[in-house]
Amino acid sequence: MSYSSTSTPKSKARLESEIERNREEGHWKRCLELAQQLPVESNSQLVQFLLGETKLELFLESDKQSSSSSLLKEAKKHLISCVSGSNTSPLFMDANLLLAKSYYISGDYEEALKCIEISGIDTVTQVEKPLPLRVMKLVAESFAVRGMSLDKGDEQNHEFIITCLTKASDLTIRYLQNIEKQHGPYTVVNVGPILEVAIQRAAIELIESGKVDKAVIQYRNLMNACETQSTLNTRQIISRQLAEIIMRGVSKSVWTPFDTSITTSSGPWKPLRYFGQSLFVPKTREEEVILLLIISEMLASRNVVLDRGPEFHESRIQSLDNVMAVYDLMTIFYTPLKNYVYDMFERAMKFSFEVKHIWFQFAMTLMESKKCPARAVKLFEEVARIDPHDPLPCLLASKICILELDQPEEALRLAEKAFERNNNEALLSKIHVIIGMASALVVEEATETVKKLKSDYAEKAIENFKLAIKVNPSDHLPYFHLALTLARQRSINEAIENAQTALLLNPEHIPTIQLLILCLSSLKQYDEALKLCEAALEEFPDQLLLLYIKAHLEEVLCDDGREVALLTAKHMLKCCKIAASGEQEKVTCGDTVNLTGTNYDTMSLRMEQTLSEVASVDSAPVQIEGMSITGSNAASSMNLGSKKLWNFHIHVWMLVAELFIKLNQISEAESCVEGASAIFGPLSHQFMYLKGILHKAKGQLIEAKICFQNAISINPKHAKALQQLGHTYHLLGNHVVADKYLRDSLKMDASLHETWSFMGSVLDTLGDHNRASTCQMTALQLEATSPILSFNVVPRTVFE
Amino acid sequence: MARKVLINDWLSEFERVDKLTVSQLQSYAISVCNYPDLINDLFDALHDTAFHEQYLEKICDQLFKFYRSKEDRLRLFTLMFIPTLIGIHLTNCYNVDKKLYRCVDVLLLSIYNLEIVDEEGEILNRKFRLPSMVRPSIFHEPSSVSSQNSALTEHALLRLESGGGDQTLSSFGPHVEYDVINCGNRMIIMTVLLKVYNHYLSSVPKQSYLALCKMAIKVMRYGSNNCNTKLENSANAENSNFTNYSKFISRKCAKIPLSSEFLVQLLNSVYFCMFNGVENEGFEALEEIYNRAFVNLYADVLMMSMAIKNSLRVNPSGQPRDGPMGISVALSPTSTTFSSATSGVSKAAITNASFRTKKLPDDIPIVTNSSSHPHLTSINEENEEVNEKEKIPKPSSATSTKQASSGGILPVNKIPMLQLLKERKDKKKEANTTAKIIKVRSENGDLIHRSFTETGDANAGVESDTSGISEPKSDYGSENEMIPLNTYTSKKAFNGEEQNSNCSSNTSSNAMVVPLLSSNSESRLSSTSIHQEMNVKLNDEIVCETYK
Repeated sequence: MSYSSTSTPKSKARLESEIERNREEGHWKRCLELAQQLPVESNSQLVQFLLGETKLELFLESDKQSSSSSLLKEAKKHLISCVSGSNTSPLFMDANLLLAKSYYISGDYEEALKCIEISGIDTVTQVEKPLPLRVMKLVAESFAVRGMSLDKGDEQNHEFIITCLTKASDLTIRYLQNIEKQHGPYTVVNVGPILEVAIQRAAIELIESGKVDKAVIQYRNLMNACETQSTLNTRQIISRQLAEIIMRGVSKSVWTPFDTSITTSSGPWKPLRYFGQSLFVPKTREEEVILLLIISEMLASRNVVLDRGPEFHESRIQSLDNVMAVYDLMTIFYTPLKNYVYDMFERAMKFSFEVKHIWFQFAMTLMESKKCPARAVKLFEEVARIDPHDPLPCLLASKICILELDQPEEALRLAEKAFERNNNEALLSKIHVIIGMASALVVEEATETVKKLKSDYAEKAIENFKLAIKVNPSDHLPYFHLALTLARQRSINEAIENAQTALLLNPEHIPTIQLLILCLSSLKQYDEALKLCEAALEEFPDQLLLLYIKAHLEEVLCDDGREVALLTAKHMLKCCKIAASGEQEKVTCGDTVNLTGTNYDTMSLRMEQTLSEVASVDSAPVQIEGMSITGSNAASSMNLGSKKLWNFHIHVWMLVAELFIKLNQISEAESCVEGASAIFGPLSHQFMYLKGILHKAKGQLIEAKICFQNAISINPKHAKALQQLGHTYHLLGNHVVADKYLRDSLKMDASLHETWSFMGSVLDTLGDHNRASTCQMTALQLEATSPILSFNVVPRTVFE
Repeated sequence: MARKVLINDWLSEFERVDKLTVSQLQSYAISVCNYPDLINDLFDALHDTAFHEQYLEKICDQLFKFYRSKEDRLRLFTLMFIPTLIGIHLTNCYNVDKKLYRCVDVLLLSIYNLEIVDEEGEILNRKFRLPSMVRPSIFHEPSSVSSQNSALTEHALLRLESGGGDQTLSSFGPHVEYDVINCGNRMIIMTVLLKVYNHYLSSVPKQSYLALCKMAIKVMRYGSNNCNTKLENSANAENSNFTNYSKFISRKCAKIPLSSEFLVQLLNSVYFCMFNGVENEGFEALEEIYNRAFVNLYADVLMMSMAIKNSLRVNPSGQPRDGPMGISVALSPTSTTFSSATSGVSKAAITNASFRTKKLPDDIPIVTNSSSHPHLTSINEENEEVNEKEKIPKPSSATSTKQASSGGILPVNKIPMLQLLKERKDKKKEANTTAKIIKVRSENGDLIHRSFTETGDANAGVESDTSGISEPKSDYGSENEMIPLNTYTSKKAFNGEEQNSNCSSNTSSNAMVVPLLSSNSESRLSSTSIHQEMNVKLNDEIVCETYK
């Protein structure tokens, strides 16, 4: 744009053609400059017209409509003087239409309608024939102004208004398409606010008159028109609106698929459409909404302003709001479908600096997708940084640390951070519970920590559970956790008391029920325990842990206890199979499967995985064992839920094997172990342990010793393997080593009374009678309160 | 009394419904469905516990009869009461007077069992295809808009892995048939019933929307009112001894346990109702659900309710009161300013689409060995300095990985930060060169470095984006101080993760003395996921122990 206005006046023709071009492209400022250069006397009507038009358009372009209202007045003056000339002038119609437009803008709807009538536009619009571009726009505007003026007036003929508006929108879109065809792609034309509103107005008119179905069709028509660079913004809004209408007004029962027959309607006034066999046509409501939202998101995110200068602040916020609106709709629509798509947020990170909402939604989506928990924690920490007063992100991060990452220390840190910033009473109780839970987990998992530290954490846990109860006595959760902690400390009566309160507040709380059963069993009230267990199974027929406990209870209680228990175990295997096969069943029983409640199982699972990877690298030809390798590889690709199920499955097999051993059916037990290790892989420490037991039962002590050693080399924290190893050494006569392993076992789990008893007899043989008797006393005391299964089986990581 | 009359009349039609011909049935259905007084009375009767003894069973019977009839309108008539029936079921599942409410259970269970199968009795498993921008549709053409958005995200990879075909998701089912409602399946059944109800939302009369919101509020608040006053008294009386609370705890204090899936579906219905005439109750229900999710830390419910709240607060999506369905003329000003924003004043603004990353030169001048030494040390010093700074507010974090992770998240101090960041950036360049040197000097250190970059790749989606962003900005920064100050810090803060991996790679190469063993296990685990990276330390412990 280097031509100057200082040089000699251009020839009139050149000037006019330049004006014409600029008009077409909507460069109104330039137009005004050029029009003002035209000699006034030569063709006053034309000059008046041009001045009127450019001023009107400039007025429409300006943001603050009030301050530039003088422009509008001037425009009107020019146009009126143009119209007041002879009505045979070729400009008469155009000028009148422009005048109608300016009347419409200033709110004189009747005047506007009158002008349209006078203009004689109706003669042009009788037939839909190809029109020159400029006329096309004029006609479109006349329809738009007419439709919207009628709408503002008393006119109740909605049909007519809607026809006007649809024609206006069709014409506008076609006009833009034609322009693009003429000037090539990437030309952006601004059609002005009147036409832009008209495009959207028809559908809104339909909704307002209660014809939602028609409105949907109208919107689809708009979306089906081929896009042009100039319509991208409109399409962004329209696709979002259509998605909104379907989400808020068209449920599945009334949704109808897209009628592809409209793609074939054509004419010079109809927009060009997308059509063809290969195109994706939404067949369900979900497909349509998602398609519209991703289109809208794509278009909206293009326009987000990245500049952070103050002069762009407003447009940046606006463009951000625009794209956030789409994200919100996506979240609203995706969440009930359990489809957690976070890559749109990933893309949004480019412009989301310090935007808490997007970060928070990103973090929660990632958390729910269960894909990268560690990353979700980092995101939550960033959210916490953006808003230093919100305890929620810290708590959610803490929840992930406990549930998915096995990082109780980190969870504790985050929960304490939440405590510092919390001022919400409703949340306070929960925060105390989480602090307590994390502290308890630190104690229960860290087998090595100093005793003093351990007891500090244990105290902290109990203190926090009590605080939680104090803050909100009507929540069952702290009672449960308190009861579990007490039970693990063998304060059985107190534990039962709290468990009962928890059950009063939430009679369906499975972990509490499980705990209560174990508590009863540790008081040796096996009858009551079994009754409670059976009653609970009425309500939760497929709850695996309950079945597992039941099998153990049956074993001690019933006459043919072991056979009955075997039957229960069989049922459990069936449940496991069903749960592993279908997604749906997982909800029913897999959800609460958390047999071990201890984390070294997951850790050793990881270990086994690593080992099997080594095995597959180092001994590539040994693919005969491929079964096992695929087995443990399958474990690595599973999510946490199915890993737990997998783990549980192993335990059921072990239960069966142990029952066989106890029934003295060694060969059955053997085949059971072999069969199971074929499924789960030879590297499972549980099976090595089991083989050890088997050998021990057969009296093959040396083999047993090797098996136990193998087991603890994979999982050095397996208290029972250590215990058995110690005992085996004892039986083999190596009492010093036996003493060492039994000590190790006690370090891991001091609540196993068998270990204490073995320890006692080892010390006895070694001649340390005093300590031997102390050990035996401890064993006796522990045995008096020992539950049928370790309290460790009750899950600690319970949030609801 | 009038209510009784209407309901009695309706109940007496019980017998008749069976014997009607198809056309009679149809006209009867139309008349029943368009009888607002009757519908209102039925809702009132279901809400009013005083009516339950006399009417509940009969109403349920009649509703079931309607549901089983071949006329779709009659089926809808029953479906409109689903929320209310769910409410009755949930508030009475521990009721001593269980027998009275058994009819509701039966009705709900039968509807459930019939809804999860198709006409042939096969379990329904409705699926839908996940649309993608890559495939042209009747609404868009991929070439023009999506090219700039083809970042290779995890999601995109997943699609490629699945063979490029349509990814399908389940929209309904498969669900299991049940013989009885028990604690184990209650929430599952109720969730599915709400889902079914959501399918018919547009077809049921508006009274049902109000009933739904009321149900949501009632179920959410259940139990909270009964307890508080008593407990406050006791809290004042005996402040210290917590066990005393248990005396005051009764079943009446118990809240109804609700699963997050149920709440999500409920939220879905509430969202619809909110835009269809029951604005105030809808807001109230939304608030209650949000509070429940807040206290229970249900991320999915929180996410959805926060999305709804935000979309109501930020205008583009419209408000329920803006007009039907929140779609309104109000958007025309936004559209005008928006379009003028793209064509007019702010043309100069860099948008997401217009933004282009500058490519850095492939070759970075090689620093000679002699001069690299001071550089190397200076890097390390500064790095440690940074780490020290970051460490101060967090004395608890002990391990190097943790330190690095907290580093990216700390508040960024703007003024000295620019300087600092520039330095860091320079360092980053140098880090590449130093890495080469390390490679020459020690195979071990190189191994560690590589393992870290590999783990970083798990985040390739973000990082490839961000690394592009931060680079050219620095040039920009020297030209114009005003604009990039903000952007600059933003990118940096956001680059946290990437830098972390750099930092940690530095620290780990410092600590090259780390036994070979640990680096091996790291590199092996690194390929799987970050998750495992976090646990590498733990694993190391085990390994060390085994070798002890």
